[in-house]
Amino acid sequence: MKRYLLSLLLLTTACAKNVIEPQNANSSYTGYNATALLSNATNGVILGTYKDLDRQTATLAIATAALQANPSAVALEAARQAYRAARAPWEATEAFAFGPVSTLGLDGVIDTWPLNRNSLAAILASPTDLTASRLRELEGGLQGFHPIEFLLFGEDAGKAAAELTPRELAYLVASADNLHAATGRLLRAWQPTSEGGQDFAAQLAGAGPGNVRYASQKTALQELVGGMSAAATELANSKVERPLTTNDLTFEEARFSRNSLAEFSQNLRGIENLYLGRYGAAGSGVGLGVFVQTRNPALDATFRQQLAAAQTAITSLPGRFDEAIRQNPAAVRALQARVREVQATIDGPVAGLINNL
Amino acid sequence: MPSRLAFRSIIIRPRLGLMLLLLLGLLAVVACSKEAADTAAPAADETAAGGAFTVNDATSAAYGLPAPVLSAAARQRHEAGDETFGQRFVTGDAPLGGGLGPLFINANCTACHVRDGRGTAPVPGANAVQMLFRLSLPGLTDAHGGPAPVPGFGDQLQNRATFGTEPEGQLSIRYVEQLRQLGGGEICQLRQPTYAVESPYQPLPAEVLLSPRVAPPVFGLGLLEAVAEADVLALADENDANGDGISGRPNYVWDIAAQQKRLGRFGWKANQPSLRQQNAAAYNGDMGLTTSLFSLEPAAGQTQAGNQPPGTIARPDVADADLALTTFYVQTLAVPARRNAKQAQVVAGKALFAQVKCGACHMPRLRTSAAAELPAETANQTIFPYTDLLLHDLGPGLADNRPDFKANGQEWRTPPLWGLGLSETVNGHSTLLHDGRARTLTEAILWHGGEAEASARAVQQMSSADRAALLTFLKSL
Repeated sequence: MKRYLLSLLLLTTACAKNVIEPQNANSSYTGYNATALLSNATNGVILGTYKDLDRQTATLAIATAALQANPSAVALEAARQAYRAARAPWEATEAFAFGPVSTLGLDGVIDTWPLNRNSLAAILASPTDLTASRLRELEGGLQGFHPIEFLLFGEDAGKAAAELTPRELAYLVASADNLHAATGRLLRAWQPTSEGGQDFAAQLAGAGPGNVRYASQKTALQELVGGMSAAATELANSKVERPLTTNDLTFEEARFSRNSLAEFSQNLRGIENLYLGRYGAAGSGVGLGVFVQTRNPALDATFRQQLAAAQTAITSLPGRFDEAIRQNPAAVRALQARVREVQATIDGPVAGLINNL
Repeated sequence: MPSRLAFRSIIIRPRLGLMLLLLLGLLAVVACSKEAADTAAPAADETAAGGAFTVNDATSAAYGLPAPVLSAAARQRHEAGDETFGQRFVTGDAPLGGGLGPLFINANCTACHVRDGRGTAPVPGANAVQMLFRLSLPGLTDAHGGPAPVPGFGDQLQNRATFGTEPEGQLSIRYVEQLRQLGGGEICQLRQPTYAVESPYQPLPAEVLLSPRVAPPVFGLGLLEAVAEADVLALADENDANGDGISGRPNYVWDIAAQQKRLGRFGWKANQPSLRQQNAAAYNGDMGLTTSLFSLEPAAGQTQAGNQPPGTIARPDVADADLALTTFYVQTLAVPARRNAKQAQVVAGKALFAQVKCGACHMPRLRTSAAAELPAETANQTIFPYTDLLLHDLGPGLADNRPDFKANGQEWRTPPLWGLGLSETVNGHSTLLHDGRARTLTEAILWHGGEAEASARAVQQMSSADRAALLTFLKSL
């Protein structure tokens, strides 16, 4: 009987305020209409990030070509800087690593890790052509960011411009061209057909009945929350956990460029961007946070505070990540704990608000 | 490193009270939309397609979530298995993921089973394929009655190789379009494929048998492994004793660990007896990785492969512990809940599904049992997979004409239909069948021949409204 009453209660609640589909918006509907939120998340934040990524990989391609033309210390530093600058938006995209990046297999040619070092060495030692089209045929462990990282930075980030061989330079240039082509494909997959794209953005933003991928706005919101959760989970449980637990730096993804902390920060930034509804100057500010704030202001305040605390834990970590693992593991554990708090809030109360819609 | 992204449950926690709440919540939402009276079995049962393995998720993560009943320790093991399932392998000795190739198709599990889901026929411009060609010679079998490998190629074509080795060859596919008229006047276009091996590294025997197979989804397989053999055999009707034109035959295949024949359950022809052997075979044939079950490289005996001497190696590329983790991961993946089960059109479509006898092979309901070697959580569940795990003759149109143990060249194992409606959401496509030739559900149905010919014809001749209802039902799975 108690059970029956409970179900009746839920039934009433569900019908009274929480069904959010657009077709209800014109009637006596009092629920949450997520049209503006989804539109901004996709067209503002996600497309904004992918556009920036594509610009940054274009810059990286130019920088590697300049390095090949004149392998000076200055040109090498510029290429390294362009590499780090391109990693920033890429790592932010990990908060929404669903859609074309996985279904078109683009992740596999942009960011495959670990690097296939044995084959890379064999190719460089061989007389085989190092054209972009030849490199595109190789398996993913020889494509994308990580071969570029290894060739630019070397084993201990101490590589000198003079050590770059002509074949390494050729591999760098062709890889950077391919990387830029892949980020371009990724961008176009999200862009409107009017801009020559496949318009995945419209599918996510246009969630609702009849939509082949997202039959409800609620599902699309769950997709966003799932993306945020996956990024936090991977940061805490893999990127931080594995090198820390094993005390083995081969598990550190950004080991050659020593860029781990900046990349961790960008993973969190990607989560925050969806929450705040902005990517730099892009985005209207209508993010998940606006929804959370209307439903549970205390939760909104807590989550913002947790995001800030996690960022602070990263930026205030003494030294590099690889140094901190050995010299200051307690601080790394604390950083991990802050990220897990972010994850727990996403998985718990934030997801709960959406699931109850 | 999202190439090995882990997708976590965002909804269900393994607590009974919460599950009850969610179930009630689901009912409540359904209650608000239009519904039809369905006086048959309680809807909640059918909605929970995977029994206690069901997750209420319709996002792109829907195929990749841990079963909600896992204990904290089991869940941790599942997540460790998620890492091994996503692990990218690299060439030669390496501190992390060494041993790839020299012959392979992809460098990790998720390259084919994207988001734990369904592969497609090769797409132009894609870097990786999610389809393989099985190879054998006609009239010959191996020592255990399985397909005879082709000298120089083995039992599977590897279309990639590590640097310095030639791939065995490339997949060549041509389609010819044909038209079918449907009841209601619509036209459906079917594409009939023909297959060949392009650029083989050495000549292939002219009589080679070739069977194309796309990567199937991997969720819910732990439950199918836990269906008691007796329950599967009870569904078999080898000689069609009941005269309904539908037989259903078990495959019996070689179990390497047990060194005996066992019921085949997995793969398009039910040619693998267990998920452990299935996974080890995939590591071997698809990634060029040895395990304790498959101690020879797929390149063994091939003079050109060269990168490492063929033969038994002291240490397998994938340790037993990692094979066990990957297997546990697949065994404990959840099944997404059905959606819109009470919608009038869905209910009508369900009745049509039964009426035209789709359910004679795509058996809606099965139960699981306890087995010593399987995760305890998989036991004693009522599940709705829409398969009988048996082989059926689907006619010459779909035939690969390549026997596989007891399966003849026209037989295929009934694939489960659960999660079907989320294919587009998870994988961005809705291509179906063993070779991905069907671009839509309608095409997939129309390709059915043999034992399923009458059912397919009935669907073809249905009114547009009835066919739409049937499709809506299938998309609710």
